[in-house]
Amino acid sequence: MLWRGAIALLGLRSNCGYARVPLQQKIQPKRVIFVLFNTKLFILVFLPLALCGFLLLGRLGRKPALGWLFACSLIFYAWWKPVLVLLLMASISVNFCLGKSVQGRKRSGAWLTGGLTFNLALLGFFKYANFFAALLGLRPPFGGVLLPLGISFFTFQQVMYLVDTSRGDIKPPPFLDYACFIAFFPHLIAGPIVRPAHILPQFAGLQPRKDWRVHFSEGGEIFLLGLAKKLVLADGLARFADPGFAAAGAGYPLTLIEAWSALLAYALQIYFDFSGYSDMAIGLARLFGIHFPANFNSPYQARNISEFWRRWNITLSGFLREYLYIPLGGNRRGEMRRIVNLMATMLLGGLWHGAALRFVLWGGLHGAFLVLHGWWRRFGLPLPTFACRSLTLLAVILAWVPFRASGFSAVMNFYQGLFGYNGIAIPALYIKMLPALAHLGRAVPVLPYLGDARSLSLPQAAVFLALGWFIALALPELHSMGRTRRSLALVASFAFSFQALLFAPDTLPFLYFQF
Amino acid sequence: MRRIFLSCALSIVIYLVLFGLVVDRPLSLGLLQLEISQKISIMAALPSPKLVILAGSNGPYSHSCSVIGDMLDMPCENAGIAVGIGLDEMFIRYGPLLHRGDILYMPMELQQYSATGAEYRAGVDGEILFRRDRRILAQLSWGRILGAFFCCSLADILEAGVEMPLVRFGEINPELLLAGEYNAQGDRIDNVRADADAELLHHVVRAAPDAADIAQGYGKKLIAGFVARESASGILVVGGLPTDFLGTQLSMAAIAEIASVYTANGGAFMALPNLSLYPPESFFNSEDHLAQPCQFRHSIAIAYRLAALLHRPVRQPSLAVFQLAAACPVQSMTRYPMSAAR
Repeated sequence: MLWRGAIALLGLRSNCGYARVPLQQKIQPKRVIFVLFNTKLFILVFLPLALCGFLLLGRLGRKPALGWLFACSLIFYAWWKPVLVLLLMASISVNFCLGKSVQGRKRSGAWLTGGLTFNLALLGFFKYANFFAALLGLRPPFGGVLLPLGISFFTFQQVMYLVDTSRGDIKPPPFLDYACFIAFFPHLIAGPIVRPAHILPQFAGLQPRKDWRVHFSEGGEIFLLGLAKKLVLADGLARFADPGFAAAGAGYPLTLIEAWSALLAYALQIYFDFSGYSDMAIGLARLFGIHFPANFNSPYQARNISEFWRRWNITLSGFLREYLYIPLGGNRRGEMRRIVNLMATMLLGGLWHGAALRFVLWGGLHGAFLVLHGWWRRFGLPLPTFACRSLTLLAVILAWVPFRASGFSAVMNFYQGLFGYNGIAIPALYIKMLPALAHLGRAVPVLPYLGDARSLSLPQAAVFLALGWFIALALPELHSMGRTRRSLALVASFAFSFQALLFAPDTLPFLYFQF
Repeated sequence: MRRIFLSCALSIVIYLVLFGLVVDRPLSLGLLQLEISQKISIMAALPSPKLVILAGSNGPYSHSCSVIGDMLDMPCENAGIAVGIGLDEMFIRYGPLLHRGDILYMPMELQQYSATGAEYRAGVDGEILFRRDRRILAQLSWGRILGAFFCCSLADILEAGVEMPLVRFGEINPELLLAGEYNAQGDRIDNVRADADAELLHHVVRAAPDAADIAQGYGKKLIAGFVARESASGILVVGGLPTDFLGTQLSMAAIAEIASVYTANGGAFMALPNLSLYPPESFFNSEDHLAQPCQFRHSIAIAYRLAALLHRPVRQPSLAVFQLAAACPVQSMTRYPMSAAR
């Protein structure tokens, strides 16, 4: 008889489909108008055409193939707003000329300063003009500045290029090579941020048709596994993450289980989403014979926060270290200066992720964690590995709240839920099954901000989270897997990717695509 | 390259075998199928002319065949199941059970009209059809068949991992379970107002589709085709509006678009003066589900309207029904005075 009540609360039979539209659908429109890597248009039309053209023109030599690649990249970029191609082209052209000027000139320092100023001004205007205008209580310029896709990424690439060229680490390449390096569509809108010295020689020595079968095999496999991370895991977890954060944003009181479920789901979602994107970018580049470095290395398995940053978004972390923290002085000028440099780097790193104070708060939290870790290491207090990992993971997870929440009030609202300020609510079904649970929390028909708000949402979330955290904590990163493991991963995931790609009615955009 | 192709092919084969033969969601989907088959059996046994109410879950929750059928003195079956069950499938199942002279009232949820073809292909019923009812599946379009083959996500297999052991090792009697939720006419009977989920109702948010969404919807085409076919067979199809929260932005253009689905295809359309909109406290656990007092109140109003449309005599509701309907927290029932109750 217990089941009578249980099934009455299942809800799906009367609510499947549309009866309850989760709150987040009103806040986060799902229709995607970009040619993103996880769309049918990209995978079934754009990519095959780009590859075929690349191989066919590759018969004529490197330059025609690169020209095709560049043209495809511009089409890829133009899909959303064609006019923004002009901005991309202008940025590429100006930086190409600046690169010629900073190399081996007497006044290269001035040219470099000018170049950096140009790039940062461009980024500052497009990405932060609205933000600072709002902070100062002014109207946004031109009625609101549109944020061009990928501007943070292609600007950073070009800053690296100018700095490395001025240092003499690289020589300015021909324009086509340079333009391909910047606009290469696999990393154009969300990275990874690759070192010019690593990529430009590859474009210079590119032989489009050499070993193309090997490239297809390697690149295709990495791309498909990245696609699975995105479509199967990240998008699957979104349904547990989004309702909680949407509710916090709308000012609704989150209870303990809802808040922790949403946060644990989001921590996995952003990891699988961004590492999936990075893997897809790496796989795509490999299809064209270009090797990108790995961008993730099981970051949630890190034993401390410094190690986390050596495993998470590795290329961005490297950029911030090499081009910001070390030029600021790094740890070479005393403890106080180290702390200031570290905090400045992380605060700016946070602000780079988005023009909002909550991103600054996220960066500040990580800066504080790094400072604390530095002190801990200095005092040499030992902790068991399990405790180190757990503590690091907890800190990272808690810091995702400001990163994901829609504003400061939502952040506070969410933390209140996490720390039990709104109490514990438990679906009545489970209290009927285990009456002792009544001592832990109050009975409610369903948890309204957990998944689809059904009684079964709780075990669904638990099982999905268990699988996700098992993958994140116990399995190696894709790039550390051998052939057998990769094959097994493909067998386990391909059909679900196929299903999500071709039969799911909506496509969720990548979380990182407009940073 | 070959290894990758083989891995992908093996993945597809395992997926199809798992979802076609092994994996099941007996709580979520098994009960839905049981509900469908029960309603079909009851409907097949009803004499004509009969009244059939067809919609999503708004049908059984917000309408009462026991009230409407009694007032119109007609056998009545509340055949609605849930919005996620594809209309093409429902029409194939119910079409042969409708006969000349029958009346089909369709207060379809707005999303039923605006649903896209992609949403249909990804419908929850694909899993039921692929796993449990391939005979019906074979009668659907190729898109739907393919959609049913690839019905399921990782979440579904994980949910099956929860539901299958729960049923396997639990004490569950689906027939008994449904008997506690539905009466013989297919009306929902467990939506008592005292158990309404006020907190959930306070927070649910839904945007009503506009006229353009409805006009371009794949669901609209399906409904229009069904109305035309059934009207040509001598069945009177009457369109209606689903229940929703008072304040829902339902434009006149959208209502006109819905009405035209019926009137332009040989059917009729009727709307209550309140456009079937009720304050949130009238509902049970979603915008489509009235709590029982308002289910009865809404049904009384529908019965009077249908009677006028059909030029049929109408009996007053019983005193018990009237008294329960009077507990619905909407404007007073002066239109239907107590003295009118039997």
